[in-house]
Amino acid sequence: MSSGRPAAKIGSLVKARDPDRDPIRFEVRVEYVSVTIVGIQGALFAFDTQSTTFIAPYQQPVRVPTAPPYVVGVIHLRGRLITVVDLTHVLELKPRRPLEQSTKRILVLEANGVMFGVVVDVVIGVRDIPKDGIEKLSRTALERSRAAQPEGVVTILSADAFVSGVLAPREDA
Amino acid sequence: MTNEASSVHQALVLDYGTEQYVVSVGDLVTFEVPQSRPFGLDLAARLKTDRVERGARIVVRGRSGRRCSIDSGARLAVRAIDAEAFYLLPGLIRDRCASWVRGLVLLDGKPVVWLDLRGIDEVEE
Repeated sequence: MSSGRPAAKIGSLVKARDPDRDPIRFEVRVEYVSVTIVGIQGALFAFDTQSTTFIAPYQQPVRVPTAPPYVVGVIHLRGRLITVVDLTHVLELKPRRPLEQSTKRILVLEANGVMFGVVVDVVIGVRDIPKDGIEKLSRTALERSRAAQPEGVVTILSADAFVSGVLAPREDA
Repeated sequence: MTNEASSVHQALVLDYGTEQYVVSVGDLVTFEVPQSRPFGLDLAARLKTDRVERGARIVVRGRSGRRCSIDSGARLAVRAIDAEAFYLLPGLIRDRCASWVRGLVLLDGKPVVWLDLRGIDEVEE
């Protein structure tokens, strides 16, 4: 598109770079997803750090009669009553020998305005995973994607999908 | 968190040894410790918990107006609990439990399940 101005005038406004003094730089922009990686029944899972509220030492939840089977109970933590769930049921993981109680934690997540805790055997840590290293999964809404990490393949779970699935109107209701 | 009125509330604490439950005294007609095992609805079985010896019998007036005898299988104690300690169930399970599981009570900082025994005999399990 022509601006209608003389080319010489435009050239005088542009400060051309000297290739000897100003080497050519390649800018590679890598986007990351920050996740909290945990171990449950020997498998690795991760939740987006945006949905991770805090990690608490394990405490025995108070059982709530007639609650769904994936609900372990309720704990009172930091002035909140928090429902604690066991994803072993939801993810249909085969129960293994329990790990040492000392590594067991409750990962407290918040999604769709609902706070809940997940029992985890061990917290590996928080990692930034490059987006291009994440493989999308079409298994369930909960199991959204996976990525290879030094400890093994990590399945990235969606806290939003879990809450939406639980709170969805039941067919028998 | 959501709570109910603000005053002291008389409540009955059902003690199963390892688990405790709270029932509002207003739901009750009478309670007693019978010499033999009491008759009526087996509450310990409904709660899937272990009975204690010489558990109390509770009589409640159901929503239908009919009296319901309940074999609690628990030791009872009456406690005055600040009404601000009574909570609804957390959002994730609020509509996922039986209607007779009313909510939670913070008893000495620990959550205890709050039962509504008025409706327990009307529920098909």
